[in-house]
Amino acid sequence: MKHHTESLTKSAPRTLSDEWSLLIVAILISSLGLLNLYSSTYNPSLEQTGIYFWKQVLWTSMGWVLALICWRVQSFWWERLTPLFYVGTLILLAIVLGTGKSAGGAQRWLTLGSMNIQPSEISKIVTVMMLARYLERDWQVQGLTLNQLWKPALWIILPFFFILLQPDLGTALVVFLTSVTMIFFGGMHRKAFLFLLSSGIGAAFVGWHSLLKEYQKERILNFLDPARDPLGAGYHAIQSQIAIGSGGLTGKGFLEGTQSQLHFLPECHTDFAVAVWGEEWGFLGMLFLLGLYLYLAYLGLEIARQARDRFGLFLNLGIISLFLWQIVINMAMTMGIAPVVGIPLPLFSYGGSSMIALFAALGVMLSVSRRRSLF
Amino acid sequence: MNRFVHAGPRRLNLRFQFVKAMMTLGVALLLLRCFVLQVVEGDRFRKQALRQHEGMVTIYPPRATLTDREGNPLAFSLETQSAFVHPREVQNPQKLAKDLSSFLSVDYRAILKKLNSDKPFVWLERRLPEPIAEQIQIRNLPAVGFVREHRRYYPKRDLAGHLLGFAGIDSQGLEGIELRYDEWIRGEPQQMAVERDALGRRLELRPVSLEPTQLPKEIRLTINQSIQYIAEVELEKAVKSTDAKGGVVIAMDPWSGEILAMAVQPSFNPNIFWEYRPEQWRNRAVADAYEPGSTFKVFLVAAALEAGVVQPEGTLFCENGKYRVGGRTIHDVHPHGWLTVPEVLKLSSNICVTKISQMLGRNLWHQSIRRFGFGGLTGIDLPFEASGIVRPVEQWHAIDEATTAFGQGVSTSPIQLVRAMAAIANGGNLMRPYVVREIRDHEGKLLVENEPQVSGKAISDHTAAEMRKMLQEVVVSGGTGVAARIEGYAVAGKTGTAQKVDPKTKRYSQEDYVSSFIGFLPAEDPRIVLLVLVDEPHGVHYGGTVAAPVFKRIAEQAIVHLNLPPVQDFLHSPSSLVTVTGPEAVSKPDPEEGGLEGVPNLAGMSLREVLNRFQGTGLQVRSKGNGFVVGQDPPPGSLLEGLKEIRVELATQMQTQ
Repeated sequence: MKHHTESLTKSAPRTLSDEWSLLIVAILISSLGLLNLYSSTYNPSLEQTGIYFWKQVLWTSMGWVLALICWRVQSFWWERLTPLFYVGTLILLAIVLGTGKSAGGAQRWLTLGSMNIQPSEISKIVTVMMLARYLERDWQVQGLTLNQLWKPALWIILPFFFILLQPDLGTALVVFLTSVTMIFFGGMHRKAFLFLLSSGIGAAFVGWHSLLKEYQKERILNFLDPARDPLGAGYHAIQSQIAIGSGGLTGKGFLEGTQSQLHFLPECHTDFAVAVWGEEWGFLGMLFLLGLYLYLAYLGLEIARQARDRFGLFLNLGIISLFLWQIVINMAMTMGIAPVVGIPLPLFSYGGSSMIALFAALGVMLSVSRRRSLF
Repeated sequence: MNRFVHAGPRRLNLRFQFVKAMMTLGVALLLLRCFVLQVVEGDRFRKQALRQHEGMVTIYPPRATLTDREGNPLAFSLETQSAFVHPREVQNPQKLAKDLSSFLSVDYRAILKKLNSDKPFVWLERRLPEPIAEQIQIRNLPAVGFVREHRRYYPKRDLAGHLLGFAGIDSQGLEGIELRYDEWIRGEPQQMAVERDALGRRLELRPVSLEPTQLPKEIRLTINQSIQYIAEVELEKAVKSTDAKGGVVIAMDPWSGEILAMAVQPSFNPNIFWEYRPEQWRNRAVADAYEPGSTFKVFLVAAALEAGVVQPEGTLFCENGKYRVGGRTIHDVHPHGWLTVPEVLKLSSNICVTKISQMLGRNLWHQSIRRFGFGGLTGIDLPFEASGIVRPVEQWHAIDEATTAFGQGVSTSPIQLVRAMAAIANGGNLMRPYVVREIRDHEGKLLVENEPQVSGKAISDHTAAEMRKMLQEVVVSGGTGVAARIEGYAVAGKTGTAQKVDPKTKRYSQEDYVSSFIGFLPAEDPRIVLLVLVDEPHGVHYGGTVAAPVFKRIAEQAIVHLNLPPVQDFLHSPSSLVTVTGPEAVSKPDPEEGGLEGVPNLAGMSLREVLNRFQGTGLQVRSKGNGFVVGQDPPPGSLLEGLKEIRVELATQMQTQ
């Protein structure tokens, strides 16, 4: 029956191929990530090397399988289960905050047996789902007015503050930007838009000139411009620029990246993974990787455009903008044009929670865009 | 298009186009940034990366000077030159390799290989002697540069080698004090960048001046160099004459726990530590545990007195040489009948101590062993300390109660034994032994001072006093330790002859023994506790025959250095000359007595000191370099007869100011 309805749709073969292409591109990117992880942790004298790599191989392949499973789940389940997921994730975030008192720095992980999961990675996707569900139900032709905005704002603010308190500024920022993208795409009443814009600018202006003290301003400036503080937070940014820059046009070759292998570049397998890629594969490698990401985004938007309901459309759009915002912020920070915040490169950086959550999201995205004959 | 989105297809399409455009713009901006970083400025970053990882060389500052308690240097760092090359700057590698090969210890082909390396920086040879470095520098060879590095030097060679330990080429302490105090001895390493000078021709390591924190500190040990020397000489003699496997001597101040001497045979020379097998580096005085044998009886008797189960004047029947316990027969070397408690120690009866142990009971005995610090670390400031083995009392059989009484079935490190004996000497306090007195910075400011530390009370003052009385009996006529007796001084001590366990048969060997003597003097106001342990002597093996005479010889010379007065009536006796064979006696010529016997060890002396020493002997002294003596010809100990001149090589010691 399913095949039957698909054959009725003019663009059905095209859509199917888009969906598969998207999954294949995602798998390709994650494979490049594995290759890169192998190199960045390659050190014959360290026994840990194998562990990182093989762990990530496990997470990545689990992600692939999960994407296929989520894709095959009947699409209406996703919308129905969204509030459940949302509440569950909020509880996880609360637990993380509650058990985090002993840690000195940020507490982002939840230990489940021998596994550490990062609920903030899951919360990004669940927030997108929650917003998509809201826009499915309460969308207005004239755009949302100020009076209607409080509800989606609440859905965003709850996870946003939980994440901000961890503190994980980067993830909170991504949740915020992605949600704003979705709401803007859905449309906002002109008055509401102008009011929010002017009050935002006004608050920033008043805050900067009368509320903040000198040293606080200094901190904000250092954060925004890492070059101001080369030995502190700027160290990462400068080292990763040197790594990427020294790659040149064609790169130093696989396993030849000296900056990362000699530990000039810390954390080079997680948030700064792309610096290793840039060093070893050069500008051409970066071109290829960014090309793949852009292709993934185009495919996602195409699928969104063909979605049969608002939930599918907004979910697709949300996931894709989540990807793009993370890519842009992560890469901009490794290239020294954005502040250093802890955001992994989607499908590429080391980290099980992020990898699995993103593949699951791709699966859900494909599943809901398959929704055809339910209404 | 999309029936469920009522915004109208055109408006929706516009939004999609807008999102797509923004995304494309974002990615394009990232690519632009990549292009700037990698293509436009790629070369600059590549150079920066090269400088970061290949142009950095780590240079280690001089290590701290180690001295004995009076400030005599035992280890210091000398300035040397290390030669390096920038292979990329070499025009004619063959010629340069040929030029260099006549100066360096590596051959032409090895040098050529280094010159053909594709790295920007390669060491040619590290720690070259100054004269050789000078000769290369004069020739002004292209692309070759020098950097000052420091070489560790132990002027007294084998003296206290096990105690001092040694350091590796990158200034890391590997053994002994060099390891234990590495964080104090080692300075902050410097990172140096390879750079060109203004003309762009000569390449040099830009030496950064030493930070105050990098100037060498001074670490003063508790060791008395003279007593250490005496201990080593006498121990070596004893080990050689009995053809033994090795030996240990420890001298300790019983009141403070300061180690005055710690000698281990066979010794090694830390200047060339790599020429010895690693097991020879091990400080057996601390890192090995032996079965103590009869010296352990001291602690049993002390425990029994403390518990009140025997009285000093009480008597025991020694079964005429045979006594059955737990299915085994205990023997005495000589059969005895009735003995007083002091006589049990004096004659070292196994049977009677077994009986005392049975009277005391295993629980009290075991507690007492632990209170004397056996089976636990002493906390001495040296690496790799062994705790020895004292099994839990629950695992003891009836026979263990007997054998531990005479020091079988337990093992103790030599330092544990000395500490326990010191507790008897000082009135019952278990002291923490230590080898470092103080650490000062380059200006002489005190950074660390080790102070005496009491780690427990082993026995009461009263019991300790009784023990000091009894142990004097051991060295009087008829006692097993009579060979340790010193005219004019009251010596207290105990002999020990332990059978070793044959590693193959796991049974007590009939051939391999550990012979020991441990004692202190003056018995009523002890100033020094001394242990002599000889491992596997051949021929006679009794502690009283092998170790006690060594104890006597070391002690009677140490007396001079400790300024211990003899007992009053002894002063009036005419035959009171004690012969001293300390380093002074060997190295100081005494023209009135007819000159020297052998060439002294001049290492570490200044030229002035050398000249003073040979003044009036008719010997010519020729010197090379300046600073302190690092080499001499003929070597120390050579015959002086017929010798006309002595040549010494001097080198600058790193300024410690």
